[in-house]
Amino acid sequence: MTTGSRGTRILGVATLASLALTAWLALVVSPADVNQKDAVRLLYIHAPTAWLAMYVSFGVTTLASVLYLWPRTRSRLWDLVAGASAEVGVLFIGLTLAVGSIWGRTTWGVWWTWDARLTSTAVLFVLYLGYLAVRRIPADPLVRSRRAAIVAIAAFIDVPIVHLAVDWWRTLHQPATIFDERRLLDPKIEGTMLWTLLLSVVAFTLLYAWLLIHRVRLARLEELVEDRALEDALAERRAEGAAAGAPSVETDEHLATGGVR
Amino acid sequence: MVPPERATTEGEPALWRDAGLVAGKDLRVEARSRVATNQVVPFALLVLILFAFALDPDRGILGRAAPGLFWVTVLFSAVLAIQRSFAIEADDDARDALRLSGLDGAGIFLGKAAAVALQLLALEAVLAVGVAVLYGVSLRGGGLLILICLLATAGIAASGIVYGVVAAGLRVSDTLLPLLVLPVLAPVLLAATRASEAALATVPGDAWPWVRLLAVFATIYTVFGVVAFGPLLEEA
Amino acid sequence: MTDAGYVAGGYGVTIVAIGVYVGYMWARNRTVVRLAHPPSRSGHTSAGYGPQKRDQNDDGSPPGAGDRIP
Repeated sequence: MTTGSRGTRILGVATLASLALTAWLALVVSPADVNQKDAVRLLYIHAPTAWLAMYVSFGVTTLASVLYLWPRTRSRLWDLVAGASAEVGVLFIGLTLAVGSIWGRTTWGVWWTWDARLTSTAVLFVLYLGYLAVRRIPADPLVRSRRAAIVAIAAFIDVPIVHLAVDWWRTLHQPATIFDERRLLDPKIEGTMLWTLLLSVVAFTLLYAWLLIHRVRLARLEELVEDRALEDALAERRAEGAAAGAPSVETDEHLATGGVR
Repeated sequence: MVPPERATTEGEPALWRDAGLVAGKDLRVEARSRVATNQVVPFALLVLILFAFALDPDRGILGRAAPGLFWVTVLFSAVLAIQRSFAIEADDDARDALRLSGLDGAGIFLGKAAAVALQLLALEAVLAVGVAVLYGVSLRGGGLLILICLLATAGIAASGIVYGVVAAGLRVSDTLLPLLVLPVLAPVLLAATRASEAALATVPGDAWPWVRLLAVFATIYTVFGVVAFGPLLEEA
Repeated sequence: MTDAGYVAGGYGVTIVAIGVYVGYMWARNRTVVRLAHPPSRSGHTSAGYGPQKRDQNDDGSPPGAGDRIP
């Protein structure tokens, strides 16, 4: 009973191959930047994880949440996809922040700056940590899924507002600094660097897909096992009840099927 | 489970009447228990004092940071007010009673949000005096400041009640609610602070983009709450 | 630390983070497998390996729906 399959093995090989190729291009083949020298090689991780986390992962989470809430498309699968995508998204955002911080250390000598993008990313990170917390609340699973779905949508509509507010804040009130932070964050990308960047986006997208599929299947397996454990417990109780001749089955079934609370 | 429909001839007015009923109930509970006045307001003033300890009043930082400190204090107090708003229904299955009462979910949302908003506005008035006295800030640009307070508070109350019902009734609600609502309110903090700074500096032109952002935020989350609160309340 | 050191650090952190997450999924998979095949107590065995073969899943969707991403 594994989450792997022929499909994911092919995907996994493709992911590994493209990641390896990206690493080779990023570290060996592509040139160092004029201004940042070798530090620019971190771009090939930072940019794709940022893009994937913000637009793909959380977009998928939101879309899946909407599909889960919409009566006509409601299905457990969407709830599981929403949760899995958010988990992978939080992983990628954490990486974005970590690699971005390291990159900042090499270019500006500081581990953190309050530039618009990093700041928005940090807020997003905490937003989705909150969503993951809601997925773990001790409550009826259906209640939990519905609340999580609504929180996902509420978080998503906040994202553009956060971006806008932080952007205005950091551009309108930028004190004069020695470093032009924006210039350093956007090195001129052309030629080999551009191809490497595009490849890195493809590679990380494949990685996201591979992680997502495995995570969704894992969640599905866990649900199935839980359901089956419940059925087994019920069956045992019935067997006991039949053996003892005591009619306690109705109460157990009512409790086990979650009742209407 | 859907609450029993009201007679369809009533239409719109039912929403506002339900909202009024719920707001009135919440405010009456507050008037009798005085939790906000006896606990939340002193808490807020205490935070202002703590900031003075942290930021050393002799270095002139307090005056310049005053708008930010004010709004941060409002945010923390808002978390308490929202928790309180749902705590009053925790006893005796009052939440179930609310659900079964036949009141419109949207109306309950608007009522609770209005009650929290009113309490927060009263708190902000007290805090404004506190900031003026403790941090030596002269409150210029009064009209604009009031507008900022109204819009920011509307957004805080609307989003707060949405997340409040998500966290309601859980053992972990006290730690979950701040984690959920404070990141969402980050733009409100930003906008309210920047707008207040502009107002105090009597440069209202700088404030308008932020005021618009506050209005947009308040509108979006009020609409969201009207739509989502009913379903969220249903299964709690 | 030289630039190269930081770059290596960045790539290393990435590899470690992804590895940890994959490891976490793998560990949970193992737990799930263990839970799916507990030692039987009353002599009745847990039904079969892998997901139950049934006509329909609980929510009415066809068998296998939700097991694989379409």
